Amino acid sequence: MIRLDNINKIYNKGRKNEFYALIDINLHIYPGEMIAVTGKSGAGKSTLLNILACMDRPDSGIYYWYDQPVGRFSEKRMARMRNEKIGIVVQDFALIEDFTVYENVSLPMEIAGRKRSGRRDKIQEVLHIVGMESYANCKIRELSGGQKQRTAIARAIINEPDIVLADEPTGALDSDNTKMVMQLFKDLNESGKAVVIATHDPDITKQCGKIIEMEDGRIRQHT
Amino acid sequence: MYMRLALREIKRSRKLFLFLILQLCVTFLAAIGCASVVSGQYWRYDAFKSIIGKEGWFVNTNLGLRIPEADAGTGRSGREILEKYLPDANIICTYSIFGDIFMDDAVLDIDSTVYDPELIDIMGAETEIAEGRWFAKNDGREIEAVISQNYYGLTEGDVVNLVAYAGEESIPIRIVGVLKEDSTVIKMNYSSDMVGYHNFLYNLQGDPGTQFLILQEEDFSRLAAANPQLKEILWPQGLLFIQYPDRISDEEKAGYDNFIADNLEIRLKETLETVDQKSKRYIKRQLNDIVPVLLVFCIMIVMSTVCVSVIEVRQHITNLSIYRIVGMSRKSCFLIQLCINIIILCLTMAVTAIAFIVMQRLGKDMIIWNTGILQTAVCAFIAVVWMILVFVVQYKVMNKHELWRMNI
Ligand SMILES: Nc1ncnc2c1ncn2[C@@H]1O[C@H](COP(=O)(O)OP(=O)(O)OP(=O)(O)O)[C@@H](O)[C@H]1O
Ligand SMILES: [Mg+2]
Repeated sequence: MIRLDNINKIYNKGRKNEFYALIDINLHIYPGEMIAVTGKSGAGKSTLLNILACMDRPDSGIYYWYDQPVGRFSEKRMARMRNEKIGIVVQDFALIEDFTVYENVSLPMEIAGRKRSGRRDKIQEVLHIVGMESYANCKIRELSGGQKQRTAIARAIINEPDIVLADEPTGALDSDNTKMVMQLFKDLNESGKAVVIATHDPDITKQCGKIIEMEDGRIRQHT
Repeated sequence: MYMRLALREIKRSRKLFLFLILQLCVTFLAAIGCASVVSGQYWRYDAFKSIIGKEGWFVNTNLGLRIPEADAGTGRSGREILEKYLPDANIICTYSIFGDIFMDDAVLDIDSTVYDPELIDIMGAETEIAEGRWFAKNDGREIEAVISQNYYGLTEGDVVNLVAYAGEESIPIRIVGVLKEDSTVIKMNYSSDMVGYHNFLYNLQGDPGTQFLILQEEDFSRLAAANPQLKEILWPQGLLFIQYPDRISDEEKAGYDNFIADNLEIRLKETLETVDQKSKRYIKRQLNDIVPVLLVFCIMIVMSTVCVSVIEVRQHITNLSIYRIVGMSRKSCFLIQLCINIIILCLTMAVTAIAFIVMQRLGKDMIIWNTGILQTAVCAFIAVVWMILVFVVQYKVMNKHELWRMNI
């Protein structure tokens, strides 16, 4: 599904503080895989996920999405990728604080141009999956961390993406909520979506089928 | 959708936006004021342009004229004598009346002045009427007059009588309008900076003890057919503009100049060219006093609104980058920001318009704010400059790479 060929990412290229964040990354991701990306802080996990998420472009190397080079995609096409094919979950939730749960989850569908009437059932369905249906009309700022992250996951899967990318999704959660969120990821994975989780947490790493260990911008180990 | 999201952002940081709108509003009002002063001065100058924009002389005849044949008994008005000696010149002036104004049987202590039509027209656009109307086309048998606020209680519709010193017949004068207290009339107005168009305008408020009666020369010449005395009792006094014809030979000109130098007993005399130049200089000085201050003021506020808008964009850049995560392109995010700016501008215009109307209602008499093409143009210019400036700055801020990453 995804293939990375010799991907390099250099921050502040050409300046004094030039920094090689990713060096010669080669990687395959297949449909239905559950992958953990681990490594020390600063190893390049987030950088890798940003590139996978079409949030950022590599400086060299080729990112293939079903054999199509993403490097050729326009900004607009990249945006549509994020909207339709890739679900993104991050540590600090990235939810609009003064929108309700419903409005937040609805946002990707609005951007995709779905009609209001067509949205409702789907939103109810994903809110049911993450167990947030009774909070639909709550503002985000009234929720707990676990509830926020479940809302974020609902939003990530609302447009039925092929892959969900999660950067430290449990970093801000306690152990009970961590368990609940991990269960959601496992359920998603079982329903056929690929899941990639960047994490420090060895417990989470253990629950993934494939582990990518990173160090100083390189993949050290692949298991 | 962009509009909706933009509106929500505005609602979210409404305090900041309120501040921004107020700042911009002040800028607009200052600009409108500035433009009003400019256009107001220019407009007054422009009104006199047809009089002073020619070759000839301005003569201040406040003490009256002493010209050949001026002694009584010639049966001629002063104007006709001038026209006889300056046959090709065009004369525009104010007149005093050889006669008294009576109300019932009492003589009024009133400053009555008769104006040539050109001056009546200029004054008509300048003065403000409290009751009744300004002069209109009159072909009746009555002489019309406009009076200032007066302690005789004379008002619209009242009739006073004019009796010439040399006659007994009383000529009715109907008052058609009453001036506002602070009206501006045409009358010599001495100032240190002589002589420009501003010296011809006189605000009644500066002289509250005096009452003015304004009459038009037209009425006198129309009725003079039946009553020749009417023309003879008018005598040029006050402002006298002698316009030379466009094509005047040097010889003729020298003759005219000599006549004026030798025969008019004059307190103040200036060529029209000098008056025009001094008028222009006067406008320029007025503008030099006020425009730079207002300009700096406007620039400073615009700058500060630009700074505020940077703070503002920082406040919702988080949300913009969330929109990007869920599938908007960066361009769309900029578009939301653009919508925000446009809404702000529209709100500002609405607030400015309201503030403008309120101020006009409250401070009717002292208001220098006016609407007009110049004002609109200046505001539009500021709006465009602001839009561009703010968007460029915001674009720079928003283009910072780190703001668009997943972990924000
Ligand atoms: N915008 C940027 N400009 C310059 N350097 C950056 C930028 N973003 C990240 N880096 C650097 O790149 C390196 C990798 O960053 P990255 O965020 O990918 O690490 P990480 O593995 O996710 O770390 P963590 O576990 O702390 O999240 C770090 O050393 C970081 O300082
Ligand atoms: Mg990271």
